[in-house]
Amino acid sequence: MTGYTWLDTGIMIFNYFILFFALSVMISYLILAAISVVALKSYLQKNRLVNYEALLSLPDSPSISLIAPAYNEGRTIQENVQSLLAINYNNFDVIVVNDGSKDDSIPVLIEAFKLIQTDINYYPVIPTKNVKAIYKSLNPAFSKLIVVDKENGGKADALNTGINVSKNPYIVCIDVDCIMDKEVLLKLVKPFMEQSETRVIASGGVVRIANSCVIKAGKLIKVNAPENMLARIQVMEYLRAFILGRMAWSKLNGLLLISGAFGMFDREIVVACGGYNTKTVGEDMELVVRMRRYMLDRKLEYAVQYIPDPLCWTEAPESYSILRKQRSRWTRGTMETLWIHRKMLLNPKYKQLGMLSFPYWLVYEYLAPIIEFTGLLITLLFICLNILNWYYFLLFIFLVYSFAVMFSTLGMYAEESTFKRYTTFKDLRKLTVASILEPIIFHPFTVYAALRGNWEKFKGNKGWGDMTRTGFNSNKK
Amino acid sequence: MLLVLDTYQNDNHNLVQGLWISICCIFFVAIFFLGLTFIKRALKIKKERAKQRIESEVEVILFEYMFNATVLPEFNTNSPLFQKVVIKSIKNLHQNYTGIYQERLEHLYVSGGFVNYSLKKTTSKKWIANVEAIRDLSTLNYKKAMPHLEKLIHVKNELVQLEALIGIIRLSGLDRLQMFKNSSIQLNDWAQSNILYAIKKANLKQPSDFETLFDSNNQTFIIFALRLADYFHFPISKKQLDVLKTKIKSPKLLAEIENKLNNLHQNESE
Repeated sequence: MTGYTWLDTGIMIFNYFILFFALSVMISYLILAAISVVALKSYLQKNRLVNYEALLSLPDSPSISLIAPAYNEGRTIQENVQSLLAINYNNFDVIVVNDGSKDDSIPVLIEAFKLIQTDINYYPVIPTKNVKAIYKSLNPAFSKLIVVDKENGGKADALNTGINVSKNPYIVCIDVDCIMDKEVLLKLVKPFMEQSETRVIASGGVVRIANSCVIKAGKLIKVNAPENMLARIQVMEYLRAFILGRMAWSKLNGLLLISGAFGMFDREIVVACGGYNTKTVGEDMELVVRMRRYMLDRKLEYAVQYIPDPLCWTEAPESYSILRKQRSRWTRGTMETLWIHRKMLLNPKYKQLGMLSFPYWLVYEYLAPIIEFTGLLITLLFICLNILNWYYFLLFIFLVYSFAVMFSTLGMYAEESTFKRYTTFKDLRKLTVASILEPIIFHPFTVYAALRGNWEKFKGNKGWGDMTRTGFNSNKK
Repeated sequence: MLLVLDTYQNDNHNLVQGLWISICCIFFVAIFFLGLTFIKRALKIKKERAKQRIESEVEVILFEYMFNATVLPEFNTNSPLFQKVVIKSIKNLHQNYTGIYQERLEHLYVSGGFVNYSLKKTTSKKWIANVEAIRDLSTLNYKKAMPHLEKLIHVKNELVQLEALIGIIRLSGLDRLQMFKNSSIQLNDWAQSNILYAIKKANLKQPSDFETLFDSNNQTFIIFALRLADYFHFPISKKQLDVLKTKIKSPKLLAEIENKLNNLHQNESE
């Protein structure tokens, strides 16, 4: 080859490593998909016969606080809060935490819901930034609503404030601009009501993409595949991740993450763990890992439940710049969580979490983009040294590409076999095109965004970035 | 070597073959799933249309029978889909009407032979079929199904057990609860909410010998009895609750009893 033994050995190791890594990724995806399919089938069979309305018969059904942090949401906050208040459940309150917004969020809320400042004392069981005022409504129709105005401290700090204000045993932490299914609380609370010896500490569900869907007065009327190609590709990505991935991890009791857009938690355990970590941008993942660790350290039986129903709809980035900020934040969040809990790695004390989920997440979620980029650099080196076998190289690329497309079609088939939210042939065609283009125009960008996230972390960037959203009112049919 | 020029032709040939075969297999699997997705969608649309057509035909026949006819209607077909749709329509109408109309629907369910479809499902090995059958039979008040339901309450599947218990309560009233108070059936909060819902829907009367339910060995049963007492406004004295406290180990049940005691104190002070 090159004539240098050490270089030739290095190249050989690299070749086999790349091949092994690629094959292990594919095999792991297939195994997770197989487990997901079986678990999903079982869930759907049982769920078909569930009467969620029965829960409303229980006058002492579990009390829940819906905590919605808000920052500069003045344009849509009234509609969003109205939508939350209309959720079908008999025992909940809505705590909107205004995190030092610079716009007119508070005046809008005061006007819309006839709020007055109360003399409710604020007892920060979890330390937070200062709370300026707590409001409640004069109108009995909005008696479930509590609005907290506080100094800016970030999403995690706002959530902690809501947790402090809540008096209920269960909390649901959501993004205020997400569209919730009207049965979201009924479905989230069911695992908590079925528990016996095992304590359910968290339940979470699927986040779906609402771009191009028909939304009126905060309600999802019709689901459409997005017009924007980037958003469409993210639909495929979310379908694979949620239907073919997380379901399996939940079945294996190794789910590390409940989406920050919505998840339900046992408040007592959250408070015992110290609430959300304000020093990380991946506060949702970090909290779940910490709660699990808390239970395992004390040898307490627990469960984290995953609800595969599409209960929460959110707006996905439609531009590469916003997408890049989102993905680099996710990378930083993953890094921070893995680093904070590094003691769990391959530690038998933490069972599936330490022996399976943590290593998997470290290698296949965090390191994968770095490995890919390293592979790209080495390939460029081969080209420069004129030792690249283009035939094999292209064959290998084609193998990976065809697997990616196949896995996406499996995701589409899984969606069609389960929730069938994309009901027209036109939507199925759109998603097929997205599956074909994704490995070419989307995946390389996510690798770049992940690398950028690593770079930003080393530079000390701690922020969220400006996540400009267009809002659901601009969606067309 | 994979990516590097090398001179080992035979190994390379096998590798190339292997790669091409893998790519072709993966490609065909992708086409397969894609095709299956579109076919599934087309079949679903076809089934929905057939269901809608049958539903509109059945609705007309059922309304005609309920309000005007003196003889049982005749149906042209007996397919499983048709039987399902008819039974579902009968149940929906049964929930929305009372008195003679309900009775006519129950009569149609039995004399039209649809009850046999449900009874057959009680012996199915599929637990979903068992649950559907129990719901059909208990909603439509077919009391002769009691022996079938009593068999199903002893199966391993907890969902079927719960559904059978609810079915028995619907058909025979809450006095039958006494028979199960020392059973091993665990009534978690979810199960209890379903039973309460069934009691509300069927407008059942409070059980006689209410207090004997508190003698249960099954602590989840006692929680349920407390909830029933709340629902029927059955008075429980402080003395009774104090006695319960001494017997109970479950922290959850103790919390429930404390709650009741606090409510009692509040009521007394008011």
